[in-house]
Amino acid sequence: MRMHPVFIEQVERLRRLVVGMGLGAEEGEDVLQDVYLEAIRRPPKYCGAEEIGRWLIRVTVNRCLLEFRQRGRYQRAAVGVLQQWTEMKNAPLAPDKQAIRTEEIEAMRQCLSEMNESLQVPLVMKYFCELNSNEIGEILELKPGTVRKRLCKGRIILAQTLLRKGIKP
Amino acid sequence: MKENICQDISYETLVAYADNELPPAEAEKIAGHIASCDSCQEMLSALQRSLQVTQVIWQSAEARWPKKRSFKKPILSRRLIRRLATVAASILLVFGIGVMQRLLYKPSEQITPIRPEPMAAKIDEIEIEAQRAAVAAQMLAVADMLAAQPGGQEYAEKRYTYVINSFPGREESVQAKLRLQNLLERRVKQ
Repeated sequence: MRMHPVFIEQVERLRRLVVGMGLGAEEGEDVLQDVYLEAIRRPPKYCGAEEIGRWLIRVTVNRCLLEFRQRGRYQRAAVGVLQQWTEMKNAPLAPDKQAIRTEEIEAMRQCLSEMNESLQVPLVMKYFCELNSNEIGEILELKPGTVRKRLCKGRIILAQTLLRKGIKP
Repeated sequence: MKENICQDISYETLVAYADNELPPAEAEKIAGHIASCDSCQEMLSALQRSLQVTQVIWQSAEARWPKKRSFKKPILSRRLIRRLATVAASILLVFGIGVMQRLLYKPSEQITPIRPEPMAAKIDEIEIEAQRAAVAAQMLAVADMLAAQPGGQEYAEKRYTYVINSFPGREESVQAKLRLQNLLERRVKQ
């Protein structure tokens, strides 16, 4: 099985994974380049594209976790995030809504940056990379029930953060 | 984290409901409960809102990435590049020091290197070879003399063997071998 086409097929998902894990563009590109080199030099001993895809995701997750320990994550300020978002959607917000949205983003950013990796990784995989609990379980070598529990715990932590900050959704 | 949001619904069920992952019958039942429960309503809204905001953060970060980057295997690995750079730096350093030394300390007069005469070397070799030939011939002559003496055959054998081992490939060695064979044959006949 040739690695290059499988990697190119998976690269958008891997990029989302890296983004979701809170790395900036520059570090994220380095991570993807490293994953690519790892895949080319030491490919897994599986033959199917599906297995290789899972292996690539696992390697990317591990590489991201290593990067966190060196650099930290979600370092971008909430104002920058909101600005980017309004530009993308081309829908400027009224000042009061902008203030609330900034507060919400800051609360979530803070929560994500402090969240345990074991909860954050499944959250990113499910709600950003669009993988289901079974797929996540196979990649992370966890039972689907454990994945569901971690997803639930992560979601509740995020929701309670909003509620604790007194931000009424 | 508490296990339940209220007595009737667990967190896990509420999250599954928020994600539309419950079977229709159960989802309907939960919807009925939520309509009459303030705490469940509040939590459901918080779950939905927090996910929306989190996705905004992710999508906004994704939009900052350069699109369509190509991945190519580098001809030289980073490690090899680093090694080559180290070697190149070392060569440059040595070369630089050499140039600096030449500039700072110019030699007052040109020193021409003394080359050994090739002929002298050959004469040395010829002399050594001649000495070896002389020694071999002398040893062979002594062995012959011993062989001619009564009771000297044993000593002659040792001398011939010595000549054979010490001067292989020489004429004296071949002669010594023949004479040793004769000597041994003579002894067998006796």
